[in-house]
Amino acid sequence: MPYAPPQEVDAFVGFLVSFPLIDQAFLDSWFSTFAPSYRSTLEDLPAVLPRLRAAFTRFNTDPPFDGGAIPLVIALEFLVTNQASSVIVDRAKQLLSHIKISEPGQEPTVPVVFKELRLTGAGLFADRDSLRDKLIRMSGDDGPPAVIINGARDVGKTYTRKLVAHVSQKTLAFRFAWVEIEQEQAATYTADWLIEELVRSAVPGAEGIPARREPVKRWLGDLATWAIKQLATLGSDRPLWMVIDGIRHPGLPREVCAVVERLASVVATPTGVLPLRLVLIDCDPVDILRTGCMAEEESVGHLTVKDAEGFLQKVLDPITFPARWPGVQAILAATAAPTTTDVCAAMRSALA
Amino acid sequence: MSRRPDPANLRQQAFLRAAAVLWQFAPDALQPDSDDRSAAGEVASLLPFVVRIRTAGGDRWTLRDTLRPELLRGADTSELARLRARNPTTDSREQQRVDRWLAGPDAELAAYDCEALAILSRILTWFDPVPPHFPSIDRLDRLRALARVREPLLELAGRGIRGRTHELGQLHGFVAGTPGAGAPAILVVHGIGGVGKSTLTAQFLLDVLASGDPSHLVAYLDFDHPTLDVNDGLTLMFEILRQGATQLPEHACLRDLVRRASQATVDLSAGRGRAPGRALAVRASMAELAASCGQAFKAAGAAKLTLVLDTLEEPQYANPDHQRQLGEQLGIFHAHLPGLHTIVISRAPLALPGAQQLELTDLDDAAARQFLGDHGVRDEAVVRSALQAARGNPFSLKLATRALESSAAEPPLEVTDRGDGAARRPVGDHGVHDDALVRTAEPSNVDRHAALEHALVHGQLYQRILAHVHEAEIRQLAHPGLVVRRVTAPLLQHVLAEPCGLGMIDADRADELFAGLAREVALVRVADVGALEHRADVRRVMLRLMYRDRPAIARRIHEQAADYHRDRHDDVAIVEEAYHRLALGETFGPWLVRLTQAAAQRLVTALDELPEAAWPIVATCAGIELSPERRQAVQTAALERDLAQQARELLRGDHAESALALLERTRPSGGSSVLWRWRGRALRGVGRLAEALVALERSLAALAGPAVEAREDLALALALAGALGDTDSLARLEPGRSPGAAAARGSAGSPRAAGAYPGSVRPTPDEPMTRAPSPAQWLDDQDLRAVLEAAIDHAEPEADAEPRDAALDGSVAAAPRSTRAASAYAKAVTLNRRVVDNDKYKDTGPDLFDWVDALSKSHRDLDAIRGSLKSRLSPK
Repeated sequence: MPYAPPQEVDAFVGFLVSFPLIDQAFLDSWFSTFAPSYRSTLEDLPAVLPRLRAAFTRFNTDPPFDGGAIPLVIALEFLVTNQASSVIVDRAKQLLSHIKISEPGQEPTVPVVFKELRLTGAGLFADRDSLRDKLIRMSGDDGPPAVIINGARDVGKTYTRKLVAHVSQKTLAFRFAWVEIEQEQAATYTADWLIEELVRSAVPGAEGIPARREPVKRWLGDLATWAIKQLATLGSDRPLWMVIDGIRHPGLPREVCAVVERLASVVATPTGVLPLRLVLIDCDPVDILRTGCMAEEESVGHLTVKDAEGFLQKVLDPITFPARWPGVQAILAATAAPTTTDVCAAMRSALA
Repeated sequence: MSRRPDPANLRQQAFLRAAAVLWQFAPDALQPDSDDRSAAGEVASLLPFVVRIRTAGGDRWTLRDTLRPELLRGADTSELARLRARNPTTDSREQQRVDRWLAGPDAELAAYDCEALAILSRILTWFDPVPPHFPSIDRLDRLRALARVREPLLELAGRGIRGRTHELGQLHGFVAGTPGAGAPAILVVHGIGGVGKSTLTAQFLLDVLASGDPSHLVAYLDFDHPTLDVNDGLTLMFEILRQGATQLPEHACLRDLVRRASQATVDLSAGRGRAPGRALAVRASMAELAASCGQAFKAAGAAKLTLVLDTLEEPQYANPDHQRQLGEQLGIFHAHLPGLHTIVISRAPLALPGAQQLELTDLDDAAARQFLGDHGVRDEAVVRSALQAARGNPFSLKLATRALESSAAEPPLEVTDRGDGAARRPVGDHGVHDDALVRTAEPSNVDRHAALEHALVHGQLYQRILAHVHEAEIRQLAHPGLVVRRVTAPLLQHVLAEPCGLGMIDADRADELFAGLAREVALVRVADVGALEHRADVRRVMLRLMYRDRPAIARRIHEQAADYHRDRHDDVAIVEEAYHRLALGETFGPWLVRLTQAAAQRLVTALDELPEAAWPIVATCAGIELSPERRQAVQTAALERDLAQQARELLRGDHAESALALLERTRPSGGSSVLWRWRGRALRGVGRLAEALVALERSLAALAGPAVEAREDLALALALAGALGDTDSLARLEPGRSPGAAAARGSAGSPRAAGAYPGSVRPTPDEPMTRAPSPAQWLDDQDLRAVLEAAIDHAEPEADAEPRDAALDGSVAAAPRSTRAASAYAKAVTLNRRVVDNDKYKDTGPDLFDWVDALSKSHRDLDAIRGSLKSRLSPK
């Protein structure tokens, strides 16, 4: 299986190690996110570099879901989500975008992979059948151009990005660009920040983002145009999915929402240059629908005990499940109204 | 992927506590809540607990909000102040807001804008329980909603408006009035882009909001936003409801209606609408929503609603049926919404049934001066200069003030001794100097004014007007195609296409382009079947900018348009031929014989576009009296022509100093003054090349004048621009030659078309009535090799041979010996470009062009140039 070229991985490791913030504490934090089985192979952290290289090397040769692939993806995801610095994030995203799990045109197909429960490097993805169906339909020619995912805090909306990434990486049926606005960033977020992060997640090093100008509404149009132009450089052989997370944070400047609406408007009016799809996580559907973009909304709730049961039945063998399910039930019974976090913790205990 | 901090890790806790009162911090600058200073790299342990924030100074970190309540629990103001003091140098606009609220309430809360309220909302989440001096979440939500209504209006209003008292009064009067029975109250505010329509209306709405009358609601809808669709009244109605509900937050009925309308929108998109077809559903829903909204507004005590629809040219472009549809939508709104008064803002006039019209024109002199004064421009010379360039267009004035500010902030003009006695202008200077400024020739003033002109051309012409044109090819047609007043598909094909860089096109393509142009309602209006007229107000602003930006092509279009109409004999052709001839400075000819009084009367409104010499002709033919001001201007122009004649004689006698002294005694009367030409030549004669280039460009931008002299002006200006290394001037004078410049301006002019200099100019009375050769003829008729060799010979410092190219002789012969090399080099560049355009030299041309172009960066080794060129030209 072709994965990221070894020289790219080596260069990335060298880059990380040369970065001033990559010190022992950072690596400790990083490795703490690895699966225990993998971490146990790293006996001595002070001698981390050779082992790191070894892990990445293994990643290049091992089959999917075993050995090094998952650690690398976890590691990269960690870098991206912890957002230590823009430079590291860009490089990590770049490497992530190169990871290939299977060749184009080969099985498994998009509908099959969208139904999978184990995600590349991101663990498990439970339930959400309705959401999966909407995403599958969006991948078709006749499907909606956009899906909006809403729900209460901590129900697991953001995890959808990992599902989309998984399908993109495994099937190569579409390309994938994403950006997440965190609550802490919202008040000072800007339209060009969003566009730049979005574009650079797929086109690392993209330059020339239009400078702010008056009137702002024209500048927003410039940004959307620039984004599409940059993303089109990837090729138009596959659609490009844009995942934008966190547009509903209170205090998010209007210009940020406005530039997302511009993107929605572009998605709704196919030009033939680049087939686009939009996944909006935490977003007012009315604003998007009013752009003419016929998005479908999916409201997700907290995972339930029933979800956990169905999921564990699928991933555990028929002997293990009856043995472990009562433990899960006991954990969840102790909580009056289990949240997604509670259910996930209980499921993890059953899978440990 | 955040984790919880380890309470037992005291060092980490010290960092977290210190970070808990900071909006953001530079990782390497954070000091812990401890007397032990931070060690290098220590802060990296906070990685799992921070979020990256992007600032102008680079990446910063901010502590995750979920961690803060625990860290700050129980801290009183003195404890918060103590923590804050651990990192006293950490500062930002947001941090100042944080510090303010850590210390206590802020009395200015009600005036907070969206950004300030967003910051406060975040700070609120840092505490559990929230200190009592913070506003409640409900109140914050209300303030935020109101700020969202005000925000776009404040952006538009900027620093407020100057003048416009009468127009503001008209708006207030319109809204105060009671519409007649069955007649919707509609006011169309129209005018050219940048004249201040949106600003005026935004100021008016802010006035209404500031009045605090809860019964008077406002709604501002900008069609430039993708959520609004004139074809889908539901989108308009929903936004009206949402903004109205925001202004009356205490009324649950409105909130409920917004919620239900939102849900209905989602349902409709999901195919859950009650009507079988979407269009039908939208229509039904819109009427229903308007009715519900009207009832809810009334129930909430709203008696009046002022609705502003901005940027209507967008739907006008996208939807030819916009007028009918808008009329329908407004009819429904007016039927249901209480006290509705609609103000429609459009670049083009809009004939809605029963609508009043308010045309916004330039600011008067006093208001324009106030505007400049508000921006710190008070020096009388600079004010006059700005007013002359920008006239009273507020957007142009704003551009002018910005240009003046930025030029003031830049270092003084670089005065480099080039051995030619000329002050070197900065590269990129598009300057066409103001007459007064040229006279005083103070470098800083020259520089400032050049920046001003540059800003106007690129800001007003390119950004404000051309950027609104939707298709690139139509943009090319508009600039410089707007030189003609009236467009038909055949004229587009035979006159405009090639000079505008579209190449040769067939009739079908011309029809397509014509249809595309017809949709640009901000530029054109339909004159009659098969004809468009460029809008006069747009031309008023664009023409002078286009002449400055594309003088050669503008002239060429005038010439070709005149020839095109010459062969036609209808009334329109007679008028238009006369218009173009007069614009070129022609004052007699066969065209004048056929200019009837009725036809001439159709030129009266175009007097401002024509040179002064044309005015008495038009007035006589049209049977009208010129105003005293115009008569004075005509007399001044006649005096200037006399003066120019004297200067010409002096220059013929090689008395450049005397000619310049004569010309400097009289200030050119305006942009079209004939004195610019002779000033340019005299300046070049005394070696003041940079100033000469400025004056020559000014002369070219005036267009009027004999073809031969104009051609010489162009050749001289090109030579000077090349010698001075002024690539912008080169691109402007020969657009299409510079790919970068062409791309930047959205122009992809055909090099062949753009570079060819006109040949069909009808001379003025004091010139023999001959027809100049076409560009191709011009080159064919000459011995190119000899010309090139002559150019190279002149490149030698010791050269004293007489130049053989009459059109270019002055550029070498009149310059001091030390400058000949540079001038001759520029001449070689110019000639070489002509080579490229000529099929006869197509094999060697591009090669030669590359060769010369590469050398354009440095012409130090002229011997090498000469040798190389001669070897290339020698017979093989």
